[in-house]
Amino acid sequence: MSEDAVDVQALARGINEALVLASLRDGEKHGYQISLDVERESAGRFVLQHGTLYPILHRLEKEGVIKGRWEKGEGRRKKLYRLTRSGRSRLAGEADQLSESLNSLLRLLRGPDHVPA
Amino acid sequence: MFRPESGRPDATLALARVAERVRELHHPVRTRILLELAGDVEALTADLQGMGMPEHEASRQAAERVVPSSAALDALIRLHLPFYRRVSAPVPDSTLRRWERGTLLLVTTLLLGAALFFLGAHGLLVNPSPFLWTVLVLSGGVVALALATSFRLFVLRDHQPGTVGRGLGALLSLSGIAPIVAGVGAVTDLWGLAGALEVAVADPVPVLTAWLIRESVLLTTALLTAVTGGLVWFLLAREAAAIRGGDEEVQQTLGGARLAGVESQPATPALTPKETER
Repeated sequence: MSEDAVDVQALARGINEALVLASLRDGEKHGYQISLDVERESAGRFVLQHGTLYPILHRLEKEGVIKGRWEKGEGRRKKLYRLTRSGRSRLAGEADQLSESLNSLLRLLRGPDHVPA
Repeated sequence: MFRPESGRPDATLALARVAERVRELHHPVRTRILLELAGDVEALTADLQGMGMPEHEASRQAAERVVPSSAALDALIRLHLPFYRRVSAPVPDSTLRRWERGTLLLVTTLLLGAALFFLGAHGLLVNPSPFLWTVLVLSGGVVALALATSFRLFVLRDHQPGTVGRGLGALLSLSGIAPIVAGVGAVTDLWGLAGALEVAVADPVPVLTAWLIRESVLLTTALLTAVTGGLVWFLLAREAAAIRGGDEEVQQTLGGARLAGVESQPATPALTPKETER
């Protein structure tokens, strides 16, 4: 097996992670804001429904890629996330890796005879 | 604003179901997960209402988007499951409990053996007070309870208030009984010494010296047991109080939704194809 072999589940996870990281590029956000922004900025193509966002956020926080802090506002405490320095470099790396993987996938799907429009 | 107690059962019940599932996680992780979800549900509900959505619909949609489905919750729990639980997962519960009890017994025996060896090596067990054995048994109990309760709180992350409370109560009681037994022993031994001296001992100095050594060993062992047991009790009680505080905060967040009654509620919504997170 090639060293560059792509696990489809890992690819899906990578996309989700990259979406979260990209959303946090603009600054601190609550979990639900990340979810809404991903949906809005992708024009509804990517949706993080049913709390799928939280395992991603918590894993990224454990890895030190994002950092959470609690904000005490008017209502109950809310958690805000921001990108760390290593998160920014991870985002750049993920973007390159995803672009490579998706290009391979597209080549495979379109076949050798495909002529770009 | 999202207020669980103000008649919006969708989000509250969904969060209560999450609360039931994350009970196996340790403090403060489980509290933080629930507060984070509740905070996001509340904020999203407010946002959706701000966009003109009716309150009930806003709450329903917020819960649907924020509250993790069964699969997402599994992933979240796996992520935060304590190390010991993760590595011991393949071992059947009954076997694991036997191993744990065996290890606890072994460690307690080793610690008591080390204490006896230390006393013996320094000649302090040549003519011990009969009360010393009782104090040593109590010390063994304190060590076993301290280990078992610490293991339960910090390794197993089992925070059942009843079990932890009983363990802490017994730990404090044994720690307090040890100096009382030693005090009674010292008085009884003093009574015995007085009787021995009355019988006109030719040279009372060796008798007095032996008594002093015996009593100092008895009292020191009892005091060490009491201080160590008390200190461990204080630390564990503080941790247990923090856990209780977290649980109360969660109860307040969930308002009227009783956790125990949630088990009878319908299961969490089915998975959707978009749930790729595992």
